[in-house]
Amino acid sequence: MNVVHILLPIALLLGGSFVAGFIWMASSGQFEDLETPAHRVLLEEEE
Amino acid sequence: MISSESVGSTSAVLESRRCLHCSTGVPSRMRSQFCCAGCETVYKILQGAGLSRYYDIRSQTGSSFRPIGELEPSVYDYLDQVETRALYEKDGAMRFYLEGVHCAACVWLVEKLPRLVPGVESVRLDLSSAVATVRLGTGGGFYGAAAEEFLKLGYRAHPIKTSEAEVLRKKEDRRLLIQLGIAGAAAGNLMILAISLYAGADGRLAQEFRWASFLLCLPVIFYCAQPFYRSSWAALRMRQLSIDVPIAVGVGVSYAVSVVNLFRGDKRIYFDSVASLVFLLLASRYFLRRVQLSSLNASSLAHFLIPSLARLRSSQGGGRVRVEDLVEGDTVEVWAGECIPVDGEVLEGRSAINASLLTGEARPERVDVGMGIFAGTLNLQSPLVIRVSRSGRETRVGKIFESMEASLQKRAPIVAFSDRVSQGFIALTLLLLPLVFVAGWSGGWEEALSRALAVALVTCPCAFALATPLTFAVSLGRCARGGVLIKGADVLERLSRIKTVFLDKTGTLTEGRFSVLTWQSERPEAEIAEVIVALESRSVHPIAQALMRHFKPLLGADLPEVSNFIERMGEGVSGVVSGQSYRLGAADVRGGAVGLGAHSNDPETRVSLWGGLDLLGTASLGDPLRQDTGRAIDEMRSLGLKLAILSGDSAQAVAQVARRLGVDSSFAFSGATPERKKAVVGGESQSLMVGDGANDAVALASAFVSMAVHGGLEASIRAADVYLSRPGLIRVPQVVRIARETMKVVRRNFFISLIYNMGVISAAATGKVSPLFAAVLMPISAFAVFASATWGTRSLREALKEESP
Repeated sequence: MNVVHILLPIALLLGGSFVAGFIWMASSGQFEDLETPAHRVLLEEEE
Repeated sequence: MISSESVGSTSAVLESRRCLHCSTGVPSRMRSQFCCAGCETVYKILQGAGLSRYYDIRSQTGSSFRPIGELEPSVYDYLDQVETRALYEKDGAMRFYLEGVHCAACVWLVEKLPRLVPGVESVRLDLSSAVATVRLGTGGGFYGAAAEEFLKLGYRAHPIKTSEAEVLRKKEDRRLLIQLGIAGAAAGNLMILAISLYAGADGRLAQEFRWASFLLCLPVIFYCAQPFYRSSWAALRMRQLSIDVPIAVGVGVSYAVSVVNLFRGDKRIYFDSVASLVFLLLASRYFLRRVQLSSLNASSLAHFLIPSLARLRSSQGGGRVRVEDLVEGDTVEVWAGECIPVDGEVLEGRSAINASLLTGEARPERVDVGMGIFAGTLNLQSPLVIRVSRSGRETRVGKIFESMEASLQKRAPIVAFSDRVSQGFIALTLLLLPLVFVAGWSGGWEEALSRALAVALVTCPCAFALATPLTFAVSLGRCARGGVLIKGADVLERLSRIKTVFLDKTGTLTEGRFSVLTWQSERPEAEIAEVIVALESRSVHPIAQALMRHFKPLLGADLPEVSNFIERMGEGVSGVVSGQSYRLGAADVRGGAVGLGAHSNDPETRVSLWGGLDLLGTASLGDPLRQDTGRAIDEMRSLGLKLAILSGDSAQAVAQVARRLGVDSSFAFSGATPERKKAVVGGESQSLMVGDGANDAVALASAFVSMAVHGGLEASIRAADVYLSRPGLIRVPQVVRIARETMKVVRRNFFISLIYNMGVISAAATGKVSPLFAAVLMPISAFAVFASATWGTRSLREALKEESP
């Protein structure tokens, strides 16, 4: 019974941190172009 | 040995005759290693700048390539004028829509632009929207130079204005995404808690779980569901019902009841259902938004068409002045190759102009002293001096744009099918709730509330709120990947209802430029080619350019010298090549009066080459039909569409095309001015207008649905609901078919949902369904509709595939 009282807040905190991360990513515009970065990463110069 | 050689020779020849740039086969009559001049230019630039890695990357991506072709030169220096920069530049960068971007290798190449153009600091390309953001270094540089380099690389660049509306839209996009993410996270966690509650958790733990659910649901109700409150409030204020009204009511009522029950210690709470409903609705809305195209709306057009500076000639010296500052009676000079900035009268000079902006016709027209001339036409041959009569918005072309803007604005909003059906449905549900409550009163107020709540929860507006946007989103996305950019869902609905198709001729049915159609001569082409190219390489006349395009690829690098070169207006050129004197000019005269490019009724122009007094050959030039025009027309006919041709060209030219395509002569309108086009198109109620030029812009704006074809001017793109980003007309019938299929799926979903709703509402109203069961049923039915929408659009995914390269 007690373990739930520890686990539930931890789970919510953990989940909350991911949501916070997502909010940051979305507001910095990282989801606006979903196609090009996937190509760009393969094209990096070897210089 | 001999036999093996003869077997291998054809393939060996084919193998060695692949264009070095685009790998298409090079016709065997050509001596060049390239299929066209465009490919040759790009190849040389890349080799020169050490960027040949482009070809390695491209071979890895495995996509196929089209020849660059000949890109018409454009003038981009206006991009660096102060006014233009003020309009288009934002945060030290300018954004361009690039035609011809298609794969990862393009990303690599486009982003290498700083190496090719000094002053450019960085370029970022968004592959899915083909928008490049060009940033200049602190040392200063020119956007015009960047745009010109793009053109040389085979991408035509159109600057994009970042309007306030677009900035707001972007913000809205981000907010919607965040709302969607939070709603998803909350809904997922709520379901985990709800499962344990449904599974029979009891006592203190259960009560704690309920409180946790309450907390998790707070951001969903007060933040994520905001778009529904806002739009239903907006609708109610306009005394209208929108689909968001019952959603907001349902969400609000369920939440309020849950909170009351939570405080009363009642076990019936619906936080999880509310959150998952909000999440699903937001998701469908977000996907639809992503595929809708509003970026096409935002661009200004006057700059593309009329130069903003003119060369003033005056006693005080003159120089370049802004067009707006010119007054009636001023005198301006326009050099060959420049666009005419004002309406006026020719004072000095004889030249040929291209008036296709106003007439849609590519054939050059002659102008002489005393003739009227209009802004937006192109001076092709020699300098002109013009007395200004009107400038700026007062010019004919300025007025045309004004009337285009006007018809764009006053276009009546069309009540979409989905709106009409959902209006009725919403009204019904909202009326039903109090009725059920009153009817259930006999069983006590708790029973009455429970029944009303069950009805509120169970009436899923999913078919309207979920399935319809999803179905549209799938279709729009499919079209976009096939190169068809559609502005919004309502366009698809209108497209499904069209009956008549109006097609512009020049540039839409045809390629829109002069080409050599036939060459009649007793001598081999290659022998003659040298002389023709040597003579015509000095001329900028469109006929000369068409001849160059045809004959240049037959030659090697070296050209013989031309001496005594003379170009006579309207007659042709002459000169001495390798000791022999030649003349190239209008076919029916030998130095006589009938000119090249003068208006004659024959849609084809003939040009002959004389060596001394001997006729060496005659070329016939015209504007050929696009390759797939015939097939596209047949398909449109098989869809039961009525076809009409609408052109500014001469009656004979239009009749010829109409005959070849089998279009009834009473539906072939010739000599149509922009004003007349508008009247004809606007007179037909369910019409689709397909066009490419500024002369079509007004007609496009007044049509029921409008479509601009590849290569069209910015003006027509802006006015059009649909833009075909790849050359050819074959997409036109395909898009109409997709639109019809889409509406079929939408209607089917409506039907399914209507039956479902009638069933469950009657069950809920009579108390056979508990609110708890209704709450479980709600997301399930949403998923069912979701599945139906995806399954229903399956066949659409195949529709554009066959044509993809």
